[in-house]
Amino acid sequence: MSLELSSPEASRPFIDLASPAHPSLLDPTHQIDALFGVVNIPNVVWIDERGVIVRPAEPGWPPGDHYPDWLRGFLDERNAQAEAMAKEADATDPELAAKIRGGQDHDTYPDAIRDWVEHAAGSRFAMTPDEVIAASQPRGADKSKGAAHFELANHLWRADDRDAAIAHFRAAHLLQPDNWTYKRQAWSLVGNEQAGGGELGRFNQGPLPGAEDQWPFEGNFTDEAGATPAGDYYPRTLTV
Amino acid sequence: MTLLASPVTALDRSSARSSGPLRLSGSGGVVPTCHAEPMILDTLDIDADAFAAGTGWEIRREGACKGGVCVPLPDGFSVEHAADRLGMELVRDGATRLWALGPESLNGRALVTAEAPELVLDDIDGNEFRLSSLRGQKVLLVAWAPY
Repeated sequence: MSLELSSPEASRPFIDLASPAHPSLLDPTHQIDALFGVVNIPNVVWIDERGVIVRPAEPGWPPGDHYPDWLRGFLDERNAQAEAMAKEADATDPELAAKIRGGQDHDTYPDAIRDWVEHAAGSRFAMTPDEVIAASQPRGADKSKGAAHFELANHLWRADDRDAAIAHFRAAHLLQPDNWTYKRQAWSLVGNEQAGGGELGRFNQGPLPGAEDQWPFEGNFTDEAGATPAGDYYPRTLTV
Repeated sequence: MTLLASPVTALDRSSARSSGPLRLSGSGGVVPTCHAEPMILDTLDIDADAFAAGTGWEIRREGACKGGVCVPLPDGFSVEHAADRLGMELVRDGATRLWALGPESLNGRALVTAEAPELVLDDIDGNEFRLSSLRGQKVLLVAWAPY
């Protein structure tokens, strides 16, 4: 499910390239955030044959050998950088070192899915309903309010009421600071505008150099993701 | 059209907290549909069917129900009362006078039940797809984005 507000055309090249045999859907208003507790991409939810959730939204990936070489190289480089940072923190800040190393493991995640496919409810990765509820994202009144602001932001953006939309995006970000899809969606919409569109415009999620005063958000992807250890950005929820 | 003069986000929901959700035994019955349209309202004067379509919470004799969990509505159905009891925040845009209704925040968690909600979304060609059409198969729901 593609979480992209602007238009189906933004998702089309990726869907065409993957040419999936499974249903591939568009969720422009991020309904799965509200309904399932999705807070980042990629996030994965496991649902059994009866329609019962057996793992709530969590970071998860396809097998690494499905990645194109450039992405594999990028991930390997990033992992090496993170490990170097963790090594540096080992002596001075063990808690930070643990957080850097504490992210969900990309390569073994598919093995957990395979285990569930084979053993169903008997899989050690399949949760009971009570465990699923307890492991789903925290949500109090502030999060509900943040989601309402995000709904208004989406509606107003599509109505070309840009400034009003940005005000509601900002409110949503303040109320749901841990929701990366709310942030990256808004950063990407504005970043794409400022970059003048193009194939990679939506990956511009921060101010252009020299145009910082035109960036309407408190944060941006490079600064925030860069300051977030892997264990916070993609928390580990299972170990194979 | 009925529009309230002020937002209702400040309503005291201590009563909802004290009684808590009522868990029904057995099947939760028909899973109501939650459409891809967000819960954007130009009036709070909507009926129970529209509320169910937008939120996934069905209004029954027992109260507001979703996936086998029911929350009593002692004052009957209104958007404000149901929102208050379910911990849904109502936010209003000052200029357009539109309301948005946030999701429930009943138990401190995103999920109040492990029963998957219905989800109706379009594919890239505009064909409607229902999550419930995959009953009988294991489903891996994957969130991604082109950014």
